Amino acid sequence: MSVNELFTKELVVINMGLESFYEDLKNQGVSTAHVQWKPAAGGDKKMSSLLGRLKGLK
Amino acid sequence: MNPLMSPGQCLAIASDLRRYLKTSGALELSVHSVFNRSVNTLTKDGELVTFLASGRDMVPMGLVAPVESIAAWKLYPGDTIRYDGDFSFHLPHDRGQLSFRKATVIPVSLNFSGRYPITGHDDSLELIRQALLTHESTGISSLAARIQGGAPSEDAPPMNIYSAYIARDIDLFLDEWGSGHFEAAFERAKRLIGFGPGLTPSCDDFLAGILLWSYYDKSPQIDKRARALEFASQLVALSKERTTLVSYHMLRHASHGRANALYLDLLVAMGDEDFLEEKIDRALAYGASSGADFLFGLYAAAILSSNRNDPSIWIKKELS
Amino acid sequence: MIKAIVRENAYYDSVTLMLISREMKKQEGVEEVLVGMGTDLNLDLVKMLDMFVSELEQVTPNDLFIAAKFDENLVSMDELVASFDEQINSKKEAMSGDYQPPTLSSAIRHLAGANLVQISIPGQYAGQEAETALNEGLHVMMFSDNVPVEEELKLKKMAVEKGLLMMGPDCGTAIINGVPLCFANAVRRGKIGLVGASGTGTQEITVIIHKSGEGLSQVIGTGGRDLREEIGGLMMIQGIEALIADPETEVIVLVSKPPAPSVEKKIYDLIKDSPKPVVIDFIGGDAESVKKAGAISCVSLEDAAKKAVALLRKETPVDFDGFDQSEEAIDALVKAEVAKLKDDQKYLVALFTGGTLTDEAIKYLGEDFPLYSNIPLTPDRALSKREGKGHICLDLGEDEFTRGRPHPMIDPMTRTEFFKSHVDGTTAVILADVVLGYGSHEDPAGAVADSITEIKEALKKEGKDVIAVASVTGTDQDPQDLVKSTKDLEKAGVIVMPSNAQAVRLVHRIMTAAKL
Repeated sequence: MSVNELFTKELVVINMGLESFYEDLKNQGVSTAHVQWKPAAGGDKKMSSLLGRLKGLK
Repeated sequence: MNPLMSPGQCLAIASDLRRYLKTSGALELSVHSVFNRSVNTLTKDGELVTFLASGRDMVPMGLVAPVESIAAWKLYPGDTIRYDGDFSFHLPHDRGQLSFRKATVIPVSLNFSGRYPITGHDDSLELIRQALLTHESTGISSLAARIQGGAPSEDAPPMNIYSAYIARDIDLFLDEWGSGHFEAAFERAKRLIGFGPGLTPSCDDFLAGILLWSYYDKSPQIDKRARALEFASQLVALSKERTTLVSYHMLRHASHGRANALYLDLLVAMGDEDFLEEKIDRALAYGASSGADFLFGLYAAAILSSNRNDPSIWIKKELS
Repeated sequence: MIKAIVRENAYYDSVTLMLISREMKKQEGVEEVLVGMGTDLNLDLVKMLDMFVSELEQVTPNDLFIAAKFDENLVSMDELVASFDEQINSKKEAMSGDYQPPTLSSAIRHLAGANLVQISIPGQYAGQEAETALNEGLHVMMFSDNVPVEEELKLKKMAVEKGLLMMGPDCGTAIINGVPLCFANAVRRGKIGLVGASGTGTQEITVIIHKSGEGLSQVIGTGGRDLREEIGGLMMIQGIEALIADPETEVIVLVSKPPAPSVEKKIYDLIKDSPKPVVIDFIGGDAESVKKAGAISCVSLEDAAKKAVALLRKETPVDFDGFDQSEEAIDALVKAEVAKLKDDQKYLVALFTGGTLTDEAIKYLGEDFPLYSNIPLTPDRALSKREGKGHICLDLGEDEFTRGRPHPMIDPMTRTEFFKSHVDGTTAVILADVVLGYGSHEDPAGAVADSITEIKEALKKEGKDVIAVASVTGTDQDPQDLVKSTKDLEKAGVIVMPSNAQAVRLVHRIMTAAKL
């Protein structure tokens, strides 16, 4: 949606990074979600090998 | 400045609710049950309409309001919410209006083209199985260990009181349903409906998973499929008197292929997709045990289904 | 003993019930507790456990039951029920644990209607996430800096093409649809729109507009580099166009450091046909070219705010380069303060947390006094060039002071340390900004007040005092307490001026009168 369309809607914010920004939005009653951002994929070794096989089958 | 006082514009509306309201015109909703992040209401003709706080997954007949907490509306069972027939709900106690005119329409069912729309791929089923076996549940999902197709895991948590009580009935039900003996399965289901902890008792979540899979599994012979769907509608009719109202509606929607957005995502991801692991995690975190029990049902149905690993299966997801 | 209670037509969410039954089971004397909906099969289980009692006979599937087996010498059913009720009520108030999606894509799928992504992750990764957001049709607010300028250009071009906002990198302040984003103050909605490349500059202007009784329609941030040649003012232009088209905006304000000449021209070309009056504060820039372009020029951030308010009220905008207080009052104040100083107190120590506010101070004071700074007016005034003492005016939010520590607006510790290390018996005047609002520390004024109190106590022992001047950038609606902030500073002996410009001007008067 364009900028001027955005001006007519409820702001719904996805926050990535500082959690304090997310808390501030929540305290104001803004609809928001916080992404627990991590730079690299972590995970259980066993799961990732299964996932690896899954992807290989595409 | 309290944004919660003027609810404003809905963020999203379920496709089935939108259709329903188009034809219904103005009507009154009676508040049935109130939770921190959702409110259930009933129409005069017995439909359950759910208002959700933002961030909640869409559900059949659901509406997402632009607020963090529905509890702030201070609704009570018996309150009336009025729909004016023109995209707006009027909340009682001067809480303002809620319009869904600009809301995003979110599908609550899947619409496929292709011969066999869903499949349980071996690797995805194995992922789900491992997750269910290691998940500590207050419901019945750890019974997944007993399903044919693999040895029970050593680190499976001990059975809770509900699982222990119902284990044998689940075993027999899956045998009967899986082999197409639907009359026996129906009799057996009388031993399952309404059993377990939760507002939607665990067995109901499990059966909803079975029904949802059934609806989309187009692989069995036409006759078998017809009988499976017949079983589903009988089960739903039976559940009306045997379980909670919320659970009955959940089963009813599932029997028509309609479910919570998370569950629909899971269904598609069981075929062949990235993010399956993440969706499994979300399901296991959903409710106290509802998500895990539902996943157990989906898993069981998929394992027993005859179209596993069919290379000719092609998924093209089109949402209705 | 076995007892049960029934709550008819009672619906509690499953997580709450599970947690409560777990708590009840832990209680001393309790052997077993079953909490569930009154379905036939759940009651079968109760029977099987020999816990069925007469209270459960009339139960229906839509009723909640609690059946408990317990030692009546250790606990009573009344106590159990009371604890159940207490927990139900307390859990009703608590916010349920919110789902935190692991990736941006999952967040977009999960949060219905998401239309803006706010990014404050490390710069090397921020660009990629912004690109994902823009591709999904979402607007972006990027607080992250250390994003390569080529990447900024690519993102802003994408955004312009899609008609989206790409506020940043290095954008600290925005207020969209009345929602403060990152570092911003709670100000009322109104008819003045603002596009700013300067975070605290934007904050100062919005706060003064609010104090005048008017309000803000939209406050769009562009990021610090937007008006450089390489970026070409892409977001400033996008913002101006949006405000011209916005029915809620009647007056437009632009704030930034002076743009690159080619960018300046683009902006003037755009606004010359603007149907709405445009106030431009290119801090320290050329007023004549602004006027020639048909816009209204400013002498300070405060002046920009006051002129915008005047235009909105259809009054004639006049330069505000004085004080709220009368000339007589200011003269008396200056005299009294200067009288405090001893002969060897000669230097200014100005410590700022907001970059643009520092800039305003340096541009005004640096004209007449040799000010050393980490953002100097000329290279020969760089801190490293300072021999011995000298007047200093520092932007503590700059990179060299924030390596490995939070920005001074979030954590006052850095400035507290600088007060300790840079103020001594040779200091005549201390100048500081105090920035309130979302994102800021919970009590920045308190930290400054404490530092000044400590300094004054130490100097008293030498028979000295020091002059302290500050301004508070905040509103009565900000999360911090504006009134208490001002009082705390005044109690510590700080002269609190109504704006950064007036604080700086007062310091200029003092330094002139004291011949520093």
